[in-house]
Amino acid sequence: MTVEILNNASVIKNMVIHAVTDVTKTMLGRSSELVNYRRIQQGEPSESSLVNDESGVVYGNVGFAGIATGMVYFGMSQSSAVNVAAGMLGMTTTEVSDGHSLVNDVVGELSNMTAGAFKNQLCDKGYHCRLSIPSIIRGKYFVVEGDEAELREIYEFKIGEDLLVFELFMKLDPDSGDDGRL
Amino acid sequence: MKTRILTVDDSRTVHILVTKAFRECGVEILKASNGVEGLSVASKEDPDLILLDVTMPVMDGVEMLTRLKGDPQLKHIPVVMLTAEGGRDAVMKIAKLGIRDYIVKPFSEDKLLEKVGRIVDLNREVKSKTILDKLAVLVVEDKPVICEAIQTGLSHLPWEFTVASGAPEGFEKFQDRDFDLVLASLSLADESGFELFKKIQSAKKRTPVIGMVVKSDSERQHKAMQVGFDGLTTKPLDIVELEMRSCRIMGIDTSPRYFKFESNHMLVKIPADPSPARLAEIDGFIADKVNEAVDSGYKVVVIDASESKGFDVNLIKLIIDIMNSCRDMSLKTGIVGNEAIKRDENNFEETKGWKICDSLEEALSDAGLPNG
Repeated sequence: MTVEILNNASVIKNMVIHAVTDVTKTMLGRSSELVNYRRIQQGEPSESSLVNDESGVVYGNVGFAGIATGMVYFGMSQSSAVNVAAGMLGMTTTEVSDGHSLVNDVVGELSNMTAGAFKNQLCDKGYHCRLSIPSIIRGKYFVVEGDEAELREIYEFKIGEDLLVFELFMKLDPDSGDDGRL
Repeated sequence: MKTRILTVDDSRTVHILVTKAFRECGVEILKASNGVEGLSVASKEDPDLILLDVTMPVMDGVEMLTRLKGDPQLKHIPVVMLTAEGGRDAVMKIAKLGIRDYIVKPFSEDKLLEKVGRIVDLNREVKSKTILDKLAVLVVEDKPVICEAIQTGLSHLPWEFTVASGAPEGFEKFQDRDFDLVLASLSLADESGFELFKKIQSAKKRTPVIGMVVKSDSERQHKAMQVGFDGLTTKPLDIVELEMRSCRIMGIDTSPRYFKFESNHMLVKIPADPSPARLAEIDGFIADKVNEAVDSGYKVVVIDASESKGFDVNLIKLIIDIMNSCRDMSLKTGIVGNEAIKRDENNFEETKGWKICDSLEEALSDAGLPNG
């Protein structure tokens, strides 16, 4: 187990792709395709394709802490969130759109599952960590910026007409006394 | 009675997905949003199974599971983890706390139904068994004297016993027919009682297993609780306790043993040797049976203590509870006793003034009813 994993782009990338495709296939019954990937270096722009979506975005945010520490932001446009929620719950878009709470909950749970699927792969490689509970962010022109992460990546997946964005911040501390195990 | 499943998760989405998955199974879904609520609902509703998340606010799933397994009233409830926490180490650590299975999110409906279906009956409404029903019990025990004690001690019940002297023979017999209960010795050689339990757990039909373990063997008792035995009974065996535990674990309605609805009255039969546990068992049925009597149009309840050896504090308390429940529902009560009961009547403040009848006919006549 070593911090070298951060330098091996394909290892982390494969973990993220596996996590997102597994979640979308299992929970939404839909295949997803990676259409954009960027590893962001210090000082580079860190905006996803959702930043200019006029309808606004919904992001779920889940943290993980331990030997691997970081945050996952899993988001989509508000209109996509309504479609995704309706499909996942077997309800109509009208039913899920009554207030924001149900759509928020769906995005939060998808974030939880996706971050969990990614983080479990880290744990199985020895980078033990635990998940936080998810939180939800809604708004427009949403950009996530962070200085402390050793790794910063943006993944964009297409599911039919909907765009899902997975943003990852991560750093490793192999000597951490808290290995994040239960 | 419907199978009831409690889902403990802070996500409303998961509650909806679980409800959707079991929609066609006639299952009642109970919900809780964290470990504190989960323990409260479990305590109140006694579900047949709990689906439990790990990461939750207020109280997480690990703490709830630990408290559940430490509570004698709740530890029998099987738990299946349904969580995004799926790293190998996490799964193994939680498994040691005594869960039945582990589902890592994301999850499909099929997987959920398959795993839960191995533990509880999903496809039809559960038919309540009573103490009067014939049941099949497999006893896996290498000590003939214990097998004999079980069969003799429980011979008053309409249960059919099959005996196996070791785990391999036990599993062979288990596969040959359907059993309602397995009693497995945990003192079998090479820990084979635990191996037998694992094999039974993997079988298609859910069969409860009670482990029989020496009273001083706390290590095996602890291990049995962790791996998820439905119950434990200690050796030397207390047959009355074994019977009550078996009935509870099988969900058997033992009330017909004590409550009978005759043509014009409800009879409450006090056993000849009423241990505190038996009296507490009867007490647990009073409210429901009195309601049933009222619903059925009965006006009189007769307490038959004619086989008792005399009054004691526990029996007096039970009779008072019955009388109070009946009075609240405007039912008349009568007590049938014997010479020993009549002698004791003046020895207790609570029983002075009670009319103890010599026969059922006298009790019914006092209540204004014709005999029988």
